[in-house]
Amino acid sequence: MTKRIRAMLVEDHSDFRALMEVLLNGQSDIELVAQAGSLAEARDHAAMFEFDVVILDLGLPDGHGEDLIADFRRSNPDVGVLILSASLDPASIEKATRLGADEILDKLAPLDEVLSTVRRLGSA
Amino acid sequence: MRPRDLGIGHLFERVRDAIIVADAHTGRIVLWNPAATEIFGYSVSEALEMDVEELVPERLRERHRVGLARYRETGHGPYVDSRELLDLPALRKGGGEIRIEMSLSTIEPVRDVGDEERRYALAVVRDITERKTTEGALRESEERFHALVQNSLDIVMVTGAQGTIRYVSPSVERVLGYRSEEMVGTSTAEYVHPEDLERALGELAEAASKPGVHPVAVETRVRHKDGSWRHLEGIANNLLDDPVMGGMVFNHRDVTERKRGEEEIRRLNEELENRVKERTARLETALADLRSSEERYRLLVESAEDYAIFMVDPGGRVLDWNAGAERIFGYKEKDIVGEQASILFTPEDIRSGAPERELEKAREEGRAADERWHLRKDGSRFWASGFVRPVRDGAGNLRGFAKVARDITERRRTEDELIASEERFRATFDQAAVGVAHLGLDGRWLRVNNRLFEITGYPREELLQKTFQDITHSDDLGADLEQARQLLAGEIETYSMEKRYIKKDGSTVWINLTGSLVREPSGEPAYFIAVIEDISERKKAEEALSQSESRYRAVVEQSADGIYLVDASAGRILETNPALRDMLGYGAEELRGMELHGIVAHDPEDVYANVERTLREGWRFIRERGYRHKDGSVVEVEVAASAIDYGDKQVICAAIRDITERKRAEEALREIRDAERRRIARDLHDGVLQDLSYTSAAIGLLMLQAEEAGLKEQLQAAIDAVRRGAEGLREVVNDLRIEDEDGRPFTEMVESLVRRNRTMAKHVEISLEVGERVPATPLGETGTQASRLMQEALTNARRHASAKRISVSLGMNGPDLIAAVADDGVGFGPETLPGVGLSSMRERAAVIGGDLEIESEKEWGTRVRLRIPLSEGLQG
Repeated sequence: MTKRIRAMLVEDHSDFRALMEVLLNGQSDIELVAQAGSLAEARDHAAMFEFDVVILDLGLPDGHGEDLIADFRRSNPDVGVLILSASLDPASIEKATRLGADEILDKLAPLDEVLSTVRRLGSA
Repeated sequence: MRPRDLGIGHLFERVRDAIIVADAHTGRIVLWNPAATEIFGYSVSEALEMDVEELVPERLRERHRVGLARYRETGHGPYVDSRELLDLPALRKGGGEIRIEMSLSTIEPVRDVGDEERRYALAVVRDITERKTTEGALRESEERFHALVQNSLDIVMVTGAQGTIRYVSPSVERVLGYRSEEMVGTSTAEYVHPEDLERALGELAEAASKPGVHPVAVETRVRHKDGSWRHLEGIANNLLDDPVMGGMVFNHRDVTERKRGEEEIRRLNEELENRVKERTARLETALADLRSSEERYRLLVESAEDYAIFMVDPGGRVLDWNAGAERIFGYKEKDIVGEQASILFTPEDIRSGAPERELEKAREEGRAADERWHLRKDGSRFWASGFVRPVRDGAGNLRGFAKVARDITERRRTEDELIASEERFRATFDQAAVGVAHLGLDGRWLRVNNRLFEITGYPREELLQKTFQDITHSDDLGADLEQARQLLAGEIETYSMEKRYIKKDGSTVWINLTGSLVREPSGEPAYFIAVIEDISERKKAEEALSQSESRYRAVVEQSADGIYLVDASAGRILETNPALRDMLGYGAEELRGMELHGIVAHDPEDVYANVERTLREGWRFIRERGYRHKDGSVVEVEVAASAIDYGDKQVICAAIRDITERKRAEEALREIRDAERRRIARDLHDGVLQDLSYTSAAIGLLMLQAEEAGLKEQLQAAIDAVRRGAEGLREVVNDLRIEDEDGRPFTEMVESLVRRNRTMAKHVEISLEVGERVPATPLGETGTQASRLMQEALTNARRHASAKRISVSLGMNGPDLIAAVADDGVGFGPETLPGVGLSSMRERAAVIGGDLEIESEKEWGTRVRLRIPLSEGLQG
């Protein structure tokens, strides 16, 4: 069996986060190594954990998720960044792309598409 | 029944939405989650004792029963089948009514839980009472704005680009008689006066060429419902791009009365001028006639006279003969002396004994005068006037007769002519358009023409009994007598005055009197000549004019608008009304003579350019202008200026209205509205949209865990329903964020779109081509929808088509904008048309009136082509 993809989840909606936890941990090839509900928490985790892909929500209680991209990249330049957001207005897509997001998915996207994107970004 | 019997596990306990399952046969509630308790107030144990009908308000229960029965019988129903999101009232425990959003679906137990086949209905319910209240508040704020428009005196109208009326404020009924509903859907051209149509179209084109708030002055006559024409003035703004208005916005004001007043003054002036001209001409003609007739008379009267003087003896023989007699009779002295004087008589006079009778009469009475025909030597006749006197010696004995005769043939002819001439004169005199009269020095009427009887209303005999003093209005008599005195004193040659006569019926008549004095050759005053013109009509006109002027003056004085007159060439203020003085803090005297740019808070160049333009166009409206208060502050106003003739000056009359309050109110209203929109957008986005995303994902997770195909299908349907709800909500949120993207240049939007997709799909080559004439300006709603549609096409190509190359192009075809996205991916046949993406693209195309073509073939790729007709204002 190949190495499992290590994922980190940054999401402030606790129900959604619990649900993603169930989803990701249910995958044999994916391991959810850390989760955070705010920018501050995410920054702490970024320093402590190693991961291949980060699943990032845009609107967080203490700031914009996309502002974390640079922090993640500093500790791991190869980390894949998947924006998973309910608010896909052109301005925030533009900003996230500019700041280095690898892929942007709607929270309404089918879960298998989320999983396949995590796999693609995590194994790159 | 337990939730896991339906395969929905502990999710049932955790979702925020109420999940309620009811038995279609009994109506009993069989499943009730905590969220349902929170929303409806019934505990689980209470709910499981209830008929689901108890949640339905009384007025909807009949429909509920019918629907449930149909579902029980057939397993179908319009809501169950469509899983549409329903917006309904519902009852809470205790009877309070709340507002819910609900989707219904059919659901079957995983395991058998009863003996017979039973049908169940699953309802997912959300309490939206609060959201409804918020929407109500938004609507209220819009209604306030609406009320503002409705109560405005102005007519506010919104039309499409082609002039079709989409909205018109109810104030239109007061001005034009139409109810606003009648006008909606009709074209503005139907109401415009045919003569104004061309100009109105020109003004519309001008407004259409300036998108945004760039007011263009419009002026036109418009048909009232009763068929009359009303004069409207106002401004037009091209707000076709404005997401709120989305049309041409007109503010019209009814200026019919003002126009009518201006027209009346102009007409009266003209009429008066014409009348004076006409009267003057007639008067001159009459005077000229009179003068020529009198001159002739004088010439004739002044002709010289020659006398024949000779003596006869008592027997009638000629004794001597003077030179005059020689010339008149043609006999030399030597030829006639000694002859009987009777040879000078005509044969008929001789036969009748006239010569003897003449001498007889002279002898007896001392004088015999007569006029008769005499004969010259050559036998011709002439008319002679003469007399005979007896000549006696010292003793009184008769020695003969002296006879004096004058050839008055010429005079007689002249007299004949004079009579004829006087008759002519009298005819002229009598028929003159003006009254002509000779008056004695005491004021008695000596001679009057017929016109004067008409003017005074007195018959001839009665008038000739009176003096001019008798019939002159007492207020005017003093001035008249003073002028007459000056005439008599030789201080003036003639005078002219306007005065009143009292007519026989007691009414007054205004006349213009021209008086002069005729003097005897000695210089003594003889009589007055008066020329009298009836000027009642003119006076009436003048009075009407002055009334109309005072009416307008009253309006101006009481107007709440500041009004002033400015001399256009000198640029100086002539007059101001109290409202203007209050507005600017000056006194009337301070303003009079002040330069215009002293009160207008703009460059003098700009101020006088406006003056020029007003003179050229006759009328001008400036929507926003700054005027300077005496204390230096600037008053924001709107200005309506018109050029008027004011004597020989060119004058501009300007009315200004303080709009500070209006602007403040508009600004405040806009801020409230925007803040409310943003707040609602934020609430919907941060709360509902996040929860819906979660719900979709939660059901998605269930689906991944589910093994049974039927259940998977049901869950997929639930996901689709939630996703539709979320997408609809996202649209709402985007629409509420009004400042969004509508104002961004279209080409820039597409460029950034392509850039974005390039970074997201590094393995795909995306090209962009922008043709000539594609407008590099914001296209408003059209631009936003088109770019979103292109984004969807790009997403499809990138995610589903496995394309290597995608080409994006923009171009113009006539007035149409063509946007195309083509890929070289796998394509799809008709049997695999993807659902959601395409229908959303079609909807966007429909919103902006565009045509969408999608060509796709397996292995050949897909081409999406959008054609949008651009209105003239939007074309580059």
